[in-house]
Amino acid sequence: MAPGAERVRSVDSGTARERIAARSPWEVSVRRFRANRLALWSLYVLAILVLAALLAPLLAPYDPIAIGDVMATRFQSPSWAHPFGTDEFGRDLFTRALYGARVSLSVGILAMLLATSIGSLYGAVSGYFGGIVDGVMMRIVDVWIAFPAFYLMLLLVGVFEASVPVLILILALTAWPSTARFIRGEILSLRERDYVEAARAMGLPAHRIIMRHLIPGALSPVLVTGALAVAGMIGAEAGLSFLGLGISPPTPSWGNMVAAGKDALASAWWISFFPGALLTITLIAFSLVADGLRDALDPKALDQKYV
Amino acid sequence: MKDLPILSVRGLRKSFPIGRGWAGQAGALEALAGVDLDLHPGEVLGVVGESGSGKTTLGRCVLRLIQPSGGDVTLDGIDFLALRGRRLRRGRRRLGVVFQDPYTSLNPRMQIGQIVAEPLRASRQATAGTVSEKVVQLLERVGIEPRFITRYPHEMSGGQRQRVAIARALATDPDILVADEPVSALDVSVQAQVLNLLLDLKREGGLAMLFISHDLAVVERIADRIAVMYAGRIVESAPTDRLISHPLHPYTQALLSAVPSVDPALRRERVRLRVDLGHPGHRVDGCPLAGRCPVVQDVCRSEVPPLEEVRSAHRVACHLAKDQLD
Amino acid sequence: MLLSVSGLRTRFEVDEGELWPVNGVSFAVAAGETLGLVGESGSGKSMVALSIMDLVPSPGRVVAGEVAFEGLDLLSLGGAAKRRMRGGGIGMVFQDPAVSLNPVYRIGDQIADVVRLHRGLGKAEAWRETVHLLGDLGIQEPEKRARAYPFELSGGMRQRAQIAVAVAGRPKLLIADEPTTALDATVQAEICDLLKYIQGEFGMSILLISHDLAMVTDVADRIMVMYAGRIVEIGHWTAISREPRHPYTKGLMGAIPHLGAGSGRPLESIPGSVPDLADLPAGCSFHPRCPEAGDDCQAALPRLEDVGDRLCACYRVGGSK
Repeated sequence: MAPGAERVRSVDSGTARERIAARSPWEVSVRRFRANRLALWSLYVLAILVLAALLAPLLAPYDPIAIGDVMATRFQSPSWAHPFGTDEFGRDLFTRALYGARVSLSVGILAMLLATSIGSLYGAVSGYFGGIVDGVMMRIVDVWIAFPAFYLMLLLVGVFEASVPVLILILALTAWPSTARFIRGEILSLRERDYVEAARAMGLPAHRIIMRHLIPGALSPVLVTGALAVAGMIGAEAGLSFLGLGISPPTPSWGNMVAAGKDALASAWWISFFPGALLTITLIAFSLVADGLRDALDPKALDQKYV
Repeated sequence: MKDLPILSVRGLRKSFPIGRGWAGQAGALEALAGVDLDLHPGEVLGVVGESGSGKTTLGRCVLRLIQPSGGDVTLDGIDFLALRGRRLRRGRRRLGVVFQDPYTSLNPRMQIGQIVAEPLRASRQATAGTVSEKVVQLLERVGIEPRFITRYPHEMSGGQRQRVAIARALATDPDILVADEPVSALDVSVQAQVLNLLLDLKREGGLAMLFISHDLAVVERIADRIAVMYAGRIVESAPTDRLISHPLHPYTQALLSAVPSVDPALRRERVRLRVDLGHPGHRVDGCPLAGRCPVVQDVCRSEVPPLEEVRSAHRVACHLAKDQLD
Repeated sequence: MLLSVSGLRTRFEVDEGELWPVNGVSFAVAAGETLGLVGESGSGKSMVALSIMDLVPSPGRVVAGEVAFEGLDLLSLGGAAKRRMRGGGIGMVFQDPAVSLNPVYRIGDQIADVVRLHRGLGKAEAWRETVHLLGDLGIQEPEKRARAYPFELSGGMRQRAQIAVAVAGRPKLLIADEPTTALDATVQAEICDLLKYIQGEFGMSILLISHDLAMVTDVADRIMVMYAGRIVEIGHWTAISREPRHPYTKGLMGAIPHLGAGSGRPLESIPGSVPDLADLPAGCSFHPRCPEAGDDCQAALPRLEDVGDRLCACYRVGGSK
């Protein structure tokens, strides 16, 4: 793109804009997101998965854990009665996948929410006050990040029994520092914006500047990193459960379901395949949504569209 | 009869520490090297300089957006730099600020009405009921129709946004408006509109202005007095007409001669500055212009010329200025 | 004529419809002449330059018109010929040298590259030429400076370096888009002098694009004024600056603060603001803001006509309706 080329559209109060009702930047972003087909469809897919997870007890045709007549029902390939087939205990895998969705998605989303809230607040305070406060807070973050996340997780899982709430806590604890660092960076650059300086010059109190001017500006990158973080969390949980360190059977999670079928890939491929496919679809969908969010929330989109 | 200054700056200094320069020095960038100025009620003081002159730093120090390294800023008799907490916030209300870039000086997520109302709400100068009335009044005063109250900044043009910024600056009924390049980012025709607005506000009375700009022609229109800055110091200050017609400092002369004019008859003999091969911002002995001055003498290289009044209200910082008086 | 542009039209397709930042632009640049192109933001002036050079960014496209350079139709050139043209036939200088000079190469290397490419000289000779050119363009200690990286130079020197890169291939035409806008006043004046020098010394033609009417008056032989994608007035610089005739040009001249006019006098401002290119007024784009507008102005677009000492697109100015 040629530098120095001027803005083609001059932003005018006049005619064209007036016909369009007043639109807040959020509304502009929503519109841009919806125009992105890939991101929009990914969002629909995720919505379906989340809905299915929430409604699992209603949708599930069987019980996920109960074991009936094992010999008659085990290792059945996918059929109308069992769309995802049955596992070695004769349990319906479609049902288990639904309940597994509950585990995987709730761990991923809740862990992300926890990490993001802690990280954002921490980063915002550190970035706004700067100086010694910032220095100390960021050194703590540096130390934390220095621990390899995976081994930290192994350690914590070894000490505490891995249930869903515990797992959420552990994942959040390993992820919040990077969010904090990122948000701090955003806050640092936002702090220099003219409208923030104007707020300082007119004597607004610190809390108002942070809440009204800094955080809304930082929300956009938070949303994007949040969407990506969920994907990471779901992947981490799946990994831990696959290794037998996360959610342990009989409670289904997509991770331990894939593990359960790993020795029977040649004969009973459906045991690993379906949870694996669901994991893949979910992770890709979150990434596409994150991409779409990033494009939609791009602040430059408001003014300078062309050139 | 001159009234007491509403704003008084004495010996204002600001140094920015910088790491090792690529030449291997660790040092400081002296953005302001001791600035004195007075601003009287209702007066517009134009501060003119090029990049690196320190004019923007001066504005930010006066507003206490950055902490000066030394000197005093007195606001209507009060030591502004010593204020804290609630008293500082109250003091800040007497200053209004307008920045250069209309595209970043308004919070894009707030409506115009909210932006202008914010200083009112924060200072609790108006009750909840009267806030909206005052907002309408302010917007009308700057020429924005009330129907724009629910609009967002991105739906308005650069000129309109700048007007909103002015309305916001006037919300707390300040004594002084600090305008840092308020029209530089605007198109010519819009620039004229906003300048005329500022002229109207000045005429309506009472508002003193610190008008910082690199554009001498713009400053000439609006300022009663002009102070020219170079390398963190004021090198000349005089009433506007006097400075434009009889500049005494070589830098002022060079600046004036560099302004292009549509009318060839108004063009001046160019005063050329030599190229300076030194490092900007590092403290030098003597006059900061010595490396480039076309009429430099030995004394210029060893002694810093003080800012002295050589004629009524006309001050110059140049060893040779007296020789130039007609 | 060195450069002849006729009926140039560039279109951008966007969500809200179509924009025409270049909407039927025709002009010519003679050999050795400087033509100034003046307009505010949204006038399309930069887009004219990009259209000529085939550098229009998407979603824009040149959709109509002819650009003849030394008889060659630029718009229909193939890849290799086009590349030879850029730098060899036409050089371009942009507003911000910090952005258009490659920060990881020394300026001498960047200039020498152009010399070798377009003038076919060997490495050592090209370097000598480079140093010579830098000195010619007013850079002190050119041997030393040629080995510098862009970040080591001041704004004014960077702009000189950028100009050096643009003229190193000895192009016949230099397109300068806002070359002085990001510079201090004293440096601006020097660059203006430099442009005048280049025109004289190298016999180059210059298309000088700027919003600064005063600066253009100082440098250009002829001036054309653009508004909302169209040219509204073209003439000799004395004619345009002493006696502007198009209402927009008159408004612009009145809005510019002239040094020496005294303190406290308001400027003449043009009411309203530049129209949104996606929603232009019917007929003459300027009529809603024009103090001289009549009914005919809204009905049909006035054409650019010869009114004696210049070309002007206005029903109120000479010519026939």
